[in-house]
Amino acid sequence: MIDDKALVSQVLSGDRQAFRLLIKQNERLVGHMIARLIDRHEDREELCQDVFLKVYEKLGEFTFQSKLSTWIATIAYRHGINHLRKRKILISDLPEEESKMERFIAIDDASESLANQQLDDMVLQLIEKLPPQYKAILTLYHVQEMSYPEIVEITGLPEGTVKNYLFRARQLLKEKVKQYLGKEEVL
Amino acid sequence: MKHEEELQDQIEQGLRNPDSEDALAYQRVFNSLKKEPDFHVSLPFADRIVALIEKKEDRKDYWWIAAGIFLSVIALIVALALTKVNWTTGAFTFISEYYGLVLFGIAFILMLQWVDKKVIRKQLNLR
Repeated sequence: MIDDKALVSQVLSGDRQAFRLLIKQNERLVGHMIARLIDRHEDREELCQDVFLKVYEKLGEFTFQSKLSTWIATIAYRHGINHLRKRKILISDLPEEESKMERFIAIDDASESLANQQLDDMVLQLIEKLPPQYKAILTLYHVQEMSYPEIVEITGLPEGTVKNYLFRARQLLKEKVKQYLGKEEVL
Repeated sequence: MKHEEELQDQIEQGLRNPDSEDALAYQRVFNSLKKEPDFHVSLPFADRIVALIEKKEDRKDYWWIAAGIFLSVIALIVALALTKVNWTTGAFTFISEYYGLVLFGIAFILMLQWVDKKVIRKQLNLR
């Protein structure tokens, strides 16, 4: 696999094939980030496209202080967040109180609508209901398997906040899963 | 809170079996969290982006050409005005006598530029 420096230098010298390779290497990362942040399916592909156009435009400014994929994820994250801000969607509005937090992702007709669904689907549904920053952090940590320093760089949030969001999101999901498993046992 | 944190860490690192309701629920959550979001970009995604970039750069090139021609004309006018040029001497006599050759030269240079841009550079980028 070609290393970041060689790839960037080829793209900067005008090699289109190298840029195609850069896109292919990072399209899943960008796709996952955008898909988790943006709920409107019709916006997702266009946003991914915008991210790579921005990557091409700004590639000359990349200083190799981090991995190329981390830098690209930062652009994708900021682009997604800016898109949500334009649509006036709150980015990290999970209430502090436990009771309100529970309500945030409550499923009213859980017993009915979830009866025939897989647990994975239910968790993914619950993740969709979390605030965008929580979703982004869960994706970076669990799907992309990024480290805390990388997530800090991408999101611009302090490490303590990243850890706290991760902890709270997982705890919320655990409570809902526990509730679901309890119901399943009764049935 | 401390207990929950420890439990999350232990389950995540596989240091603990799901020996309680909480531990089992966490294990199921961690398994589900590893699932990728159900979204994939369309197949010609990279090609489409490269096409967009080329289109953008072509447009930029045309602006530079237009600006270059405009500035050349201005420079020519200024030069002619400042030098009080005599149209019957030197290079001007040559141009008037061999205007066909001069036109061919200009057309040839423009054609070479076009071939370089549209054929040669494109071929290099496809490799």
